[in-house]
Amino acid sequence: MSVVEFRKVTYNASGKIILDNISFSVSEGNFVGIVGQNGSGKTTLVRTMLGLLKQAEGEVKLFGEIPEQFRDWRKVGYIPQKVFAGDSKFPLTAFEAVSLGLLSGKKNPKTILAVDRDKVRATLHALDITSIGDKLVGNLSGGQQQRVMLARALVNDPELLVLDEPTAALDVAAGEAFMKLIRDLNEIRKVTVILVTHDIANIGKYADKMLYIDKKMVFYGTFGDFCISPDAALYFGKYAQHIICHRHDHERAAGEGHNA
Amino acid sequence: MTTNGRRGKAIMLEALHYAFIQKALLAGVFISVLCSVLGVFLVLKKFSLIGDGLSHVTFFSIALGLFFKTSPLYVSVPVVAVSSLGILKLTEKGNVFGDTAIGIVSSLGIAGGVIIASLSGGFNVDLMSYLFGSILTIQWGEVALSIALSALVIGLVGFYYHDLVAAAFDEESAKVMGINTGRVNKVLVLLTSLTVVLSMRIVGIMLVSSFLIIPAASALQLGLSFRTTILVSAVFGLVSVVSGIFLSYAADLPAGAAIVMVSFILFCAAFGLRKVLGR
Repeated sequence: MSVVEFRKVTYNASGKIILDNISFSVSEGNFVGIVGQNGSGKTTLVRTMLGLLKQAEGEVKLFGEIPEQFRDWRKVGYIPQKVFAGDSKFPLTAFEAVSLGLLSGKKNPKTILAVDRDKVRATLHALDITSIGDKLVGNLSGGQQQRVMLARALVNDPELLVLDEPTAALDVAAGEAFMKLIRDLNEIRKVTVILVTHDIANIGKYADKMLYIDKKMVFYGTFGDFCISPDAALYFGKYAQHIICHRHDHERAAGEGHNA
Repeated sequence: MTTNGRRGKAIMLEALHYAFIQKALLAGVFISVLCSVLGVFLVLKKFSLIGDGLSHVTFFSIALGLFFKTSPLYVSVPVVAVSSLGILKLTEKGNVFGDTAIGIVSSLGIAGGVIIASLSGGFNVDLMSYLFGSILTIQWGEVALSIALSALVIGLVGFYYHDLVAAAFDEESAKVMGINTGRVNKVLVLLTSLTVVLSMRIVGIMLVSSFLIIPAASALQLGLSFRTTILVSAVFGLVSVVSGIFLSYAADLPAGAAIVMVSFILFCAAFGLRKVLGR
């Protein structure tokens, strides 16, 4: 069964087409990178996938159900594009923020039990952020904040992790470390990953499939296929396609050398 | 104990003999805790001025109640509740920022109140007592109502506590956790409307938003965890009301204004403490 499925999905806002006839599916264990320029519809696509935007034409399925009817949110971990919308003084410790991830699937009045607190501690430990558990999230560095958000998304052991530009505010080293963490989750814990990013090179390096959109779907497949795709050549131009693939080969080789 | 300290204690003991002080303290304590707890959520959701907007609507509903010679409370609860939902709807669906929506509803409330007051021959004493509060004249029935409604509101905040925290922190992720954030926001504004109506007898329409904002803003200065921030906010609200009532008795000041002044002093103290602690 597909974890996510889009069939001929079109989304309009104020008379403008944001997504145009998009079809693709993501299988269990996939690591799919969604790429495109600013305003290409990446975030809209993710928000449609999670039922945050309604009234899209076509068919969207999340674990086989339409998102509006989907109830088992424990299966999904999500890191949106902007969490701290300018509010660095929000009085929430890293521990409290991660605890919020356990609310999925609980009924009101929701309670955080001792067993939940153990889960939070284990997740903080797994992501190597135990020492910042009692610090306010707003006082942490960008890299630490993203780890806390990842911990919140992972604390319920989700089957699908959706990340919307998680490394946009991080420096190169922190971004690289974060991406390796995501790759390990995908490879070791078999979590299906959908990652929105601007960086095609990162997709080539870590993801096993790439979805390039520009309101409509330009390309969907492996990075290797992308490099020989006539559709991609037509869209980017052969020279640009060559440069992207060459950079990818170069970085992947450097990464493998470094790992060895 | 110093001479001033002994004198202060004697005034407090003397004040406690009066039934109107006992009633004021009892109602004030419950309302202050209620406002301070709700205030934390409102301030964090950048909705802190909703109290101000709704208090202006309360002015209209009280004028309406007095015009039709019925209890202002019976008119205020439904009118203010509907207005709070109107503000929410304008913000969510009307492509209007939260503060703009509050401004629209607020000015409408004032305009409506002035028209009704003018139709009834001007501002009478009753209306003025609601404008500036009269905690020292409340009746036992109103005390009981304050306690009952405070218990209801605090119970509902407890019931939705984690949903309220999640929605205030990151509404989009809260939705992906399966939390019905639309319902949570409705609960928050409805509880606020009920609180504003309840508080109007204590601090008055003009000062009610300070009850919601200042203790929460003071607690937020200290950089504490969420749960502790709520507790500290409640303590700030409680201390403001109790000290304000005694100050009002000792110095013969209007109680509502005295409470707000104490609240502001606590805010300054928290602000100073934050600087000292380097948070």
